[in-house]
Amino acid sequence: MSDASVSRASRRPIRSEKWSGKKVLQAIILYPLLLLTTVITLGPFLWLLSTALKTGENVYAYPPQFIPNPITFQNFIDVFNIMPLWDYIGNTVVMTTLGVLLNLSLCALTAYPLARLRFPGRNAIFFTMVSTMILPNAAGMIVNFLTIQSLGLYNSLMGVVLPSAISIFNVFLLRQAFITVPNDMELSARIDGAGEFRIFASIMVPMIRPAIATVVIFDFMAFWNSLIWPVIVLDDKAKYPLGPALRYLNSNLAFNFPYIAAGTIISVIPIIVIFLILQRQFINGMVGAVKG
Amino acid sequence: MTNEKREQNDQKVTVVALLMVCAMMISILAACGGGKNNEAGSSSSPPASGSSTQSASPSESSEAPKDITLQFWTISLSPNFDDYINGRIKKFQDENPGVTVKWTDLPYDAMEQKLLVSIAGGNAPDVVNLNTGMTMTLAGKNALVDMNAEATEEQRSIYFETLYNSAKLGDGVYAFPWYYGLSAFMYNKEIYEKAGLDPNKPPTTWEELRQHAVTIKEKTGKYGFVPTYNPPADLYFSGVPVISEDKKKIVINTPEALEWVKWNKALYDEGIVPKESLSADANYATDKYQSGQIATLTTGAAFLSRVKTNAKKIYDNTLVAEMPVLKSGKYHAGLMNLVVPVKSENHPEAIALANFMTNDESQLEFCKIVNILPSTKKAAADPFFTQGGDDAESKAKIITVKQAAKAQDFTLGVKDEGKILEPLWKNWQKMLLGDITPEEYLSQSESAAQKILDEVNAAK
Amino acid sequence: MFTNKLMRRQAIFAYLILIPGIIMLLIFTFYPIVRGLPLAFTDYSVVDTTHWTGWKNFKRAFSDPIFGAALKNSLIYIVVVPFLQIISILMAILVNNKLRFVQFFRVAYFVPVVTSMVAAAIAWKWVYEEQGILNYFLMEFGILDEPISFMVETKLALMGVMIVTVWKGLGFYMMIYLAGLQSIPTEMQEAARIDGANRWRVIWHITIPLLMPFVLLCSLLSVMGAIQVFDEVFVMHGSLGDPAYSTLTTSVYSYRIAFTDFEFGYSAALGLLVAIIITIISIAMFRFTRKGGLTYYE
Repeated sequence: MSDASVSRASRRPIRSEKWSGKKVLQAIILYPLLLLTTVITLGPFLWLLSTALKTGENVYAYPPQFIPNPITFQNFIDVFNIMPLWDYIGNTVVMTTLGVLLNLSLCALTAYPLARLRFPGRNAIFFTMVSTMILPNAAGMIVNFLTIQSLGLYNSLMGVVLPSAISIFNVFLLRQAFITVPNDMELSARIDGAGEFRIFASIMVPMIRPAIATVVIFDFMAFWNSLIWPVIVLDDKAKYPLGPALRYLNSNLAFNFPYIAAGTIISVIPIIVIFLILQRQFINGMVGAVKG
Repeated sequence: MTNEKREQNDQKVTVVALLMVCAMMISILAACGGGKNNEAGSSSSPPASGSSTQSASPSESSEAPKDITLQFWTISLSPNFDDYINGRIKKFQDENPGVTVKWTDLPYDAMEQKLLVSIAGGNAPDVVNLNTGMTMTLAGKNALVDMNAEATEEQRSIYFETLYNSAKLGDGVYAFPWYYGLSAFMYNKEIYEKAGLDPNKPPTTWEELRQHAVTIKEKTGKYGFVPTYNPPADLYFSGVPVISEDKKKIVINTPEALEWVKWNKALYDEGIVPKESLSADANYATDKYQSGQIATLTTGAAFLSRVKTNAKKIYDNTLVAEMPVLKSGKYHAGLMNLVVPVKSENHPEAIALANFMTNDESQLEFCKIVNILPSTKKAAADPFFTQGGDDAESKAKIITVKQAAKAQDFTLGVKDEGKILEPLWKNWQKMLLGDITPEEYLSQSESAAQKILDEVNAAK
Repeated sequence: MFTNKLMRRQAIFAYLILIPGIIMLLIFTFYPIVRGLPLAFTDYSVVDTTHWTGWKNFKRAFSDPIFGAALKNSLIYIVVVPFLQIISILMAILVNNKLRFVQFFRVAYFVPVVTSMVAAAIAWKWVYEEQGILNYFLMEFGILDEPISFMVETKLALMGVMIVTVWKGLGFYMMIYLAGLQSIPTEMQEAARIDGANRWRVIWHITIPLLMPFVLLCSLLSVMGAIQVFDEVFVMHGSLGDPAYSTLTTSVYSYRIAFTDFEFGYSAALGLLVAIIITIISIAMFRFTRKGGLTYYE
């Protein structure tokens, strides 16, 4: 198909038209592909959404009902009524904000020297970090709990966030991004007499904005969705974030699938919003900046 | 990008970066500060004390040293039963001045992890809600208080003896039985009629149930029922000893066992039950029943309330009868228990709380809000259980209570029970899938379980 | 340009900004590992007294058929890696186009990543069940006469979980690649295209080589992730890896050993053995790719 596009395009004498012709063809090929992928990735989620909007009888209908009829928001209302959901959302926002800020700053600060600075011990530090991704951590939860307890952070937000204040995965990701920044930018800044921190903060960090956006999204997701650790560290249910709180919907004596579906939708929406915001701010900004 | 623009951007980014670093510093400082505060807070309570005093506010514990806080952990009861639990706790506190109960309800799958981690941190709860399997594992690790040794005769005497003894290990009993559910035979009248069966003649034996299922499959294409297998318990209630009196020999390779295994294998092979029965649980069965895909529901009566909320039409068409009984004439009761960890600092008070939450009054009140059965004799004898309306739920209640006299949980009564019984579970799936024959199932499972039992006994 | 003075200044700066991160890593990552490793040589159970048991746990692992089965499944699981990487690179290239509604597609592809595993498992069970949606369509279109129980057939169950892993992971890696694509100077690609190279040649000769550091990083990460897969199996097939251990993986097994059987010592030993296997595979990957994504910036 690409051959065809080239030959067809080459017959066109005027450049701008050649591009627009290509674009049409591109669209014809791309959109079906994009849509097909969407069906697969979004399918199960759409089913959850449709379940959340169904009335009780239709949830278990067979053959399955794809589009809810009638549509009801009762499940969402009920979920908000059976538990203080706003409080949990508030807790999650605080926890997530704190966690993302901490994690992003620590990871960026750790990744940068490993990527672009020369200093003795760099390899050793890096390989030790790699090894921790492989080594087993059988008693990790218990040891971290003991540490949190001895720091006096039991039943506190800090106790939930601190163990994930840095993640080696994100360090890797940012390090990789720092590596791809062209050398000449750094060199010209050095010639201009910029200090190390200035190079880091005003040359390097802006250059890897897409990676930073990605890390923020991953972080946000990880904190927003953390299930077990908050339950271990927190004693008061009132302090729980959304994830563990929603698991009460899965209780054995009162299992209600539409509620679970509604709860899932509620917990996914903020992540999608953050995702959209960051998309616009970072990724498009980046493309625009380079082109402009 | 113009130079001017870049300059601006650089400045912005520098500011952002500085803010980030500041935020980080502040949060780290806050962490350290928080640590100090908390340490100061807990230092007023004696350092040796575990869970109970740590959670009590410092002023309370210093002013009135007698005051005790009990940590009470339950599984998945909140938010549906908040009012009930809080009401009972209040009553207990009123009756026991100086004792404060701090209730924590945990999501189902978080319990084991939180419990272990808390024990490791010297912060063990005082009363914990566990199922029998988990109770026995912990008891085997000497982590639970022996009720026979530490509870009073009066406290122990309120329960049905068979239920009380389901947490028996050696001479000790390591839990108070709480609530349990029994299966009732619930069936869809409409499907029964469509299949040409008389809805007024529910099956009274498993063989009849099978025949009904065959008819239903033939006439309607739907499944008759979903067996939720529990091979060790199924065998036991089919009259197989499973373990010898002296707890030294695994005994499952008997004619009764073979009959039961072959019967199930035939059901599965002939497609009378869904292939997914292999790993089906009550949730699966209930989902299928309420979607009208399966004619009968043979799980706990508590699941009927789910059908009522999720599929009113099916619920209105549901009839209830006694569950066909297996050869032993007994029903399997999946128990919830209350246990007291050895690491609790206040054994007598904790035992009192566990006993209070499971006493006649507490259980009766609990049963009135959810379709479960009480483990105490007096509560079960209450007229509440014999009267009720014509709806399926009330009928299920009356029927299960009738069955309660024949109810029993199943345990081996030895350490590491879960591990010993695992071959029975896993080989069961292999047998249904056709990897091994029913005969091999019994012989292989018996020898595998025996091997683990020998190891456990040798380690004593 | 690179004087000694500059080198020293760089080194000091490097150490300075490394400190906070390293401290956190020491406390919450290294310390638990160091504390945890010796447990492999004990019968630590948290609740009961602990004894030193020497190599007993390792001997037991080698004669434990269930661990063998779990290890086999974990290694089979690596099959997801090429699918995950190739499809997600293609997806990233696809949504890196300046198209209308591209935002929507990015979100659509990312939704599986953010959906909680518990909810995703319920959705996928509904797809796989005997009376599920997949059978429904396969039978509507006449591809099947009889429904297949994708959850129950031992040969299909693991594959079913692997599909969920791919489904849930695609968006994740797509994001990483997208970030990588965004940092590739667009001038290079456009120059090539103006020179007459067709789309696929640009992708193959320019985009992919520039993405290579990301590809290798992601492959390594997904290999580790595949061997250590936990969530999908646990929520879809339980801690026993139904049916008949056919979906049991090492992580699920050692979790169960630790938290249901309270044998943290044995669990630690299993973890150590798996770590050795991962190390060998990682080294092999390094060797194979030579200048892997983890080489140094020079």
